[in-house]
Amino acid sequence: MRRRLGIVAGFGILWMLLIGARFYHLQVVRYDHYSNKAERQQQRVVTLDPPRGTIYDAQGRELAVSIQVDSVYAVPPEIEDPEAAAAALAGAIPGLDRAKLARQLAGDREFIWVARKLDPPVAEKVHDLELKGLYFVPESKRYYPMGELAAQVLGYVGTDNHGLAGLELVYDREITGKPGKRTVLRDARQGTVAAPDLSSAEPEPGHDLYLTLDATVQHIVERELARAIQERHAKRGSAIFLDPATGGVLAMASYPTFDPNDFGSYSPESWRNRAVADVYEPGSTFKIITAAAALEAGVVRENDMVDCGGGSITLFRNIRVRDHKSYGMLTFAQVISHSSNVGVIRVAQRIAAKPFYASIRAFGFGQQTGIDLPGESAGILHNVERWSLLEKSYISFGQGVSVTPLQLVAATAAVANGGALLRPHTVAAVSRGEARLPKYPTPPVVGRPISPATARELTRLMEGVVIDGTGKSAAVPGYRVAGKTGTAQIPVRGGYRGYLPSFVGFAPADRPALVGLVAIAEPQGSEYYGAQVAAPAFSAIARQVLLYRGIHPERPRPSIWMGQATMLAGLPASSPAAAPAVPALGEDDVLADGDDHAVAVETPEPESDHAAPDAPKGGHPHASL
Amino acid sequence: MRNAYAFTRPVANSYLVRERDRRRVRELALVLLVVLCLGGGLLAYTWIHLEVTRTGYRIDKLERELTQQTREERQLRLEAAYLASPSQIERRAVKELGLQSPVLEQVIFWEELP
Repeated sequence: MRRRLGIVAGFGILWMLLIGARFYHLQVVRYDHYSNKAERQQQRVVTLDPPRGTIYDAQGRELAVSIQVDSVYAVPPEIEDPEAAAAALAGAIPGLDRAKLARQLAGDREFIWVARKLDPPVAEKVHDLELKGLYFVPESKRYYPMGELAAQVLGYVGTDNHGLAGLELVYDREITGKPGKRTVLRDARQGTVAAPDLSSAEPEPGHDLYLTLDATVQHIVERELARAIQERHAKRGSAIFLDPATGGVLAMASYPTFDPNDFGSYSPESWRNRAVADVYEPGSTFKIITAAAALEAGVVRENDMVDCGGGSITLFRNIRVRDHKSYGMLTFAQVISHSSNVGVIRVAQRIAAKPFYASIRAFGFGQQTGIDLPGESAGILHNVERWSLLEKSYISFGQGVSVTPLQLVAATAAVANGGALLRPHTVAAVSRGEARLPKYPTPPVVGRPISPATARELTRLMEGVVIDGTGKSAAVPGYRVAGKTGTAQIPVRGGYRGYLPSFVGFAPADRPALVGLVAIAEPQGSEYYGAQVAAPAFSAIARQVLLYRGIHPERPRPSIWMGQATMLAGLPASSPAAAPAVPALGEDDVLADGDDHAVAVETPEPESDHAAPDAPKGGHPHASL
Repeated sequence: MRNAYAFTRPVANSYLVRERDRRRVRELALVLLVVLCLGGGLLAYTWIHLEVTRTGYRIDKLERELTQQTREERQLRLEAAYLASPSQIERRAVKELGLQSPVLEQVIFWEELP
C-alpha cells in the first residue's frame, strides 16, 4: 500500500517538476521572446499627428487652420463588385475618375487610396454608402477660410502636410509640431482599448503664427488692386503696404491670385508672390533715392535752381534723355514734383559714382531685404566698379537698376520714419505654449541711409509731388500724402515692351502710419502713366486703410450730434456727401505739369559707329513684374 | 442456528462524546482561510483586470468622442472664420443689406465729438 502510494506521489512530484521546469523555461528563460511576441499581438502603436499651428492675422482672425478629415482607402479583394463600387464612389466624390478606380478595384493589390483628405460633407456621403472593403483613416487637412486672401503670403501645404510655399514653407518647422505615439491594446475583434499604463507620448502641437498682416487691410488692397488692373485691362500687378514704424507688412497682394485651398487648379504663375520675387526697372519712383543721395551728400537743397535746359540732355554723343516738355529752370523740389529726368540727371552728376552707389546700397537695393518669405529676389544693381560711363545717369531716373516692389517700399519707409531702414517682416509673434514671443521686440533696424533732416526734406519734396506735381491723383482728402509716381518700360530681350506704372508713397506725411506701393504691369489703352493708373489705386487704398486704422483726418472738429451722424451714414449714393472722395482723373490733371513719363532714350541705330557699347539697352531681360 | 448462541446485551454508550480535535479545527480554519484568501485574491485580481479592460474601452470610446467633438468644433470654427472674412462681410453688407462704404464726411471719430 505504502509502496503504491509512493509511486503515485513520485509521478505527481515528477509531473509537477516538469510543469515547473516548463514554466521556468517559458517565464524566465524565454521571457523576452514571448513577452515581445505577446506585445506584438496585443498591442498596437498609434501615431498621433500633431495639429499644425494656426496662422492668425494682426486682429487674431484665423487665416490658416488645420482640421482632421477622412481619407478613404479600399482593400480590393474585399470588394465584391468593383464596377458598382467605383460608380457609387464617383457619384459621391467630385472629380474622381470612375473608370480608373474600377480598374484599380478589380486589381489584385491589397491597398489603394480612393481619395485623400475629403471635405467633411463629401466624407459623410462616402460613409453613407456603407461599402464593404472601404475604410477611413483620419488625416489633418489645411484650410484657408478666407480663400484667396493673402494667398501668396500664406502659401500652401502638400498632401504630406508640409509647407510648399509662402509662410507655410518658411515657418514649416515651427508650425508642424512633433508627432506623438500611443500604445493601445488590441482586442480579439481588432478593436482598440486604451491602456493608460502603457507608454505614450503626446504630440507636440505646432506653434501658432501671429502676423503683422491685417485681413481687412489686405482685403482692401486686393480689392483695389484687382479693380485697377481690371479697369485698365492690365496683365498683372502687386501692392504692398507697410507700417513705417515697425516694418511690419500690413498687406501684400499680387494679381493674378489663387485659392490656396485648391492651388493645384491654378497656374503656377498665379502662385508667384510678385511683391518679393519680381524685379522691374522702377523708373521715376527711383528718383526718391537719387534725391535722398543728393540731399544727404549736400550737393543740392530743395530750393536750389536746376537747369533743365530745353527738355533734353545729351549723355553721350547721340544718346539723349528727354523730358515730356521743356521746363527751363526749376527748383530741385520742382524737379522732383514734375519728375524731370533732365533735372535729376544734372543733380546726380554732382555726386561721385561711389557715394551714389553707397547710398543706393544703404537703402537696401541690390540685396535681399531679409523678409520672412521665400523666393525673394535681390534685384539687380551692378557693382560701381563695373558701372559704364552712363550708368549713373540711367540709374538716377530709375533705369539700369532693377528692384523688387518690396525693396522700393522698404526704402520709402525709411524716408517716412526719419531715416531708419527696417527689415520688412510678416510675422509679429510665434506662440510658445500659452505665451506669444514677439519676433522683433524692437523694430528691426538694418541701417540708417539718411539723416532725419534729409528725411524731412525729402518728405516735403514728395509731398510736393502729390500737392502740385505728377501725383495729384494720389491725394487723399483730409490727409497729407507724400509720394512719387513712376512709369517704367518693361524690358525684354533687345528692347522694351509695355509699361509698368507705379506709385510709392506714405500718409499722413506728417505722422506716417502707412507706406505703400502699387505697381500695375502692361495696362492697355492710352492711359498708362503712374499718375493715371497706380496713383488713384494708392489713393483709394490709403483713404480706406487710414480710416480703418483710426488715423484722424485733418479737419475742423465737427459740431455734430450722434443723430446727425446716423443720418449721414444713411445718405444715398447720389448725395454730395457720398460722392467719391477721389475725383475722377482728368487728362490735364495728369500731364499738364509734365507728368513723369516713360523715358525716351534715343539709342543709336545698330549700324551707328557711335553706339555706346555699355549703355544698358533693353535693361534687364528677366525683369518680369 | 447461529442465533441460538447469541444474546444481546445492552451497552450504554449514549453518554460517550467524541473528543473535539482542536488541532484539526485549527488546521481546517487555516486551510479555509488560505483558500478564501487565495480565491478572494484571484477574484479580486480578475475583477480588477476586468475593470481595467472595461475602463480601457470606456476611455477609448470617450477619446473617440473627444476626437469627434474636437473635429466638429474645428469645423465650426473654420466656418465661422470663413463667414468672418472681410470679403464675405462686405458681400453681405453690400448685396444683402444694401450698405456702402462711407466717405470721409460720414466718418466721425469718437474723439472728435464735442
